[in-house]
Amino acid sequence: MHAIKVSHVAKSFGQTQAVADVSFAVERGEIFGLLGPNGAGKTTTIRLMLDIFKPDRGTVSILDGPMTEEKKERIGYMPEERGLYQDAPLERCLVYLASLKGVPAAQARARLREYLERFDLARHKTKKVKELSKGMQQKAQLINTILHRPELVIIDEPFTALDPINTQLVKELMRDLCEQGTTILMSTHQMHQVEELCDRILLIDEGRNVLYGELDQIRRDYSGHAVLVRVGDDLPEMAGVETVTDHDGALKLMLAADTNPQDILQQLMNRTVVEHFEIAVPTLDEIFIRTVSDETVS
Amino acid sequence: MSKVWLIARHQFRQEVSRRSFFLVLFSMPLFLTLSIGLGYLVSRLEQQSTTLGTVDQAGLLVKTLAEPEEYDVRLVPFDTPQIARAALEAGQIDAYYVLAADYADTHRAELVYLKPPHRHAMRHFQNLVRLNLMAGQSPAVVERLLSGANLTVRATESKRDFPAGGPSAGQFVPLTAAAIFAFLVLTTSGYVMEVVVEEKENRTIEIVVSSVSPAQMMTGKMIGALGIALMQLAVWLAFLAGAVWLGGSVLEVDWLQNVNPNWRDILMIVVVALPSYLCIAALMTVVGATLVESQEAQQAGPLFFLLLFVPMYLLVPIAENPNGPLSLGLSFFPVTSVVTIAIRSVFAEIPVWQTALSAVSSLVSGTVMVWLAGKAFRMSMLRYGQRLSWRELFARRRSASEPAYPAQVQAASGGRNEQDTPCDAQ
Repeated sequence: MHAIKVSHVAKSFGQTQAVADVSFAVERGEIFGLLGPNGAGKTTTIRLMLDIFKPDRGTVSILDGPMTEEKKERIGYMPEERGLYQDAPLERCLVYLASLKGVPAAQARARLREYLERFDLARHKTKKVKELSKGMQQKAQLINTILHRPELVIIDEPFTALDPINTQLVKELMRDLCEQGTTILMSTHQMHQVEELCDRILLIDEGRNVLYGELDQIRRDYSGHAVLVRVGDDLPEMAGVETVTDHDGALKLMLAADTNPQDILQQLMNRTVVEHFEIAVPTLDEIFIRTVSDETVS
Repeated sequence: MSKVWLIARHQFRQEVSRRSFFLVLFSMPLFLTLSIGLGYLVSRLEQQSTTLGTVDQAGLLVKTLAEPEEYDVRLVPFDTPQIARAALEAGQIDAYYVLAADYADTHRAELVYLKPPHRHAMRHFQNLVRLNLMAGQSPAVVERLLSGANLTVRATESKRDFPAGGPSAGQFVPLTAAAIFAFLVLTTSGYVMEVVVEEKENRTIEIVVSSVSPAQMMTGKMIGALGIALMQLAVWLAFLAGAVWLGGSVLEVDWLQNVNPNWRDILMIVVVALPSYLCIAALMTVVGATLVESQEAQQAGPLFFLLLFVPMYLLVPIAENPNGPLSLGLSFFPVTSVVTIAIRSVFAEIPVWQTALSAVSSLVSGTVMVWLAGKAFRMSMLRYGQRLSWRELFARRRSASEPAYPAQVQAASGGRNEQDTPCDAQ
């Protein structure tokens, strides 16, 4: 069964079509990336999934059925609009929010101790939230999202305001959660983080699906007719190669339409020492820009 | 524990942990203590005894009168006005009376003083003269005449008695209850309005509604605010009871010694005050939904206080005609009903049907306001940093359960900025 299944949802606010037609499914135990430019409808889609808004059309199934009050306790949500009770001490604030997710206060306090240690916030637990730095508040927000050990975690822009060390910490946490069987849906603009963490993605633009599926397959589908090579000597001239450019310490060979990468590898092996040979696939950034630009033009 | 109670407890704890809460909590008792203390101090500082000289050229003052219990008056006879004047100037006496030889014909006495003597001393001398003028009368007649008039004003139509011509402390209890109600509204209005504003300001609303329903959240917060109001009320009532006991039993203030409140009137105030508070609280929540910062909510609170006290500005016409159209109109208007009924109850017995109608009017208005508050809350909950206009609130929508354009909804055409560009929903 899917952790989330969204079928053809649409949502308008007055004259504004926030989501036109979005469909996707998130498998249990995977990290799923929800991508899209600003204003694409990501946040509205998440709010539809969480039953904060009702869809005008389409259906949402979350943890095997429609959203219920009971299911809210099995879901962790970190909205893009970060917020904690600014005047409350950190520990009291997080224990209270965990108790709203059905965790007894004593248990929440015990779990919180571990997380505060892990996120280097233990010294600050009695401070008021407003006395913490933005990065600390971001970490506290993340702790709030997972403190009740949810089956499904939905995070909107998880890496905003985090320095590289804390970004790494959050990535490790997400991998740990995934290993423990937690399903994670993250919405972000940071494509390299998606490439590193996600198995599958959905790219939406103007409230519609644009790209959806296995990340590797999407990159293969978008790969151009090119290879990346590194050879021992100078690159020999070869038939079927149209252009040669430098690319991260290697050479990127753009091939003619009727040239097979296997032919190029054969030619190279016959004429020089091949240190590295790779079929070039575009980065997610490149796919994102190309896809969204194409959509805008069309 | 139910999530509603968790939210209520959190709201309560958040408020009572603020220093400003204790300032508000103890400001009224402090004001009360200072008022009573100052009044008592002033009365203690007043002169407690008077020495009056008498020059009885008429030979009238044969009988003597016992000194009054409440005041120490000493009478010193003088043979001539000159000697009495010398004693006055020497500070031996506070004032002196001269009864001229023809007093029996003129009934005129002369009082000479540098500073007017205390009224108790003058009354004592007047009683002494009366006693001697009634030398031939029976003791019962003398006693009755000396005790003076015992006036009870009775409004037959409105069924109210005023012993000694003015309202008793007991008759002031409904007014005191109304004043406490008004101060309660003033001090708790901020909390109630902050129910909505604070969640928006802290950006916590989306997290909370992903854990509980908006209805649970609102209910919990309202119960929390009500708990604060009740705690405040309990503390104030305890102080008030303590002040009455102190004034009546320890300081022996006459007016506070026999407070016999009319429980029917108090019950009537309570019956009207409960739905009226609900109505005002819901109205404040609606106002809170249209605001962006909690500071604005605190500033808007006193406006309700002014509205509540409209009947006070109209005290004279209400007192003159407690069953007139103005009095009745204000009694049935939810915001002014409590204070109006309290004022009217001093001067007239209010029929049960009027109390019931007033309570029902507040209850119906309160129910409408609660519905409107829920609508305003749902419309405004995800509009961070944006106001909800009254026009939007009352506009007929396809779906009233959701905001017209939450903060992060993108513009369908043109803008790509999710944060800043609300689109026209109409």
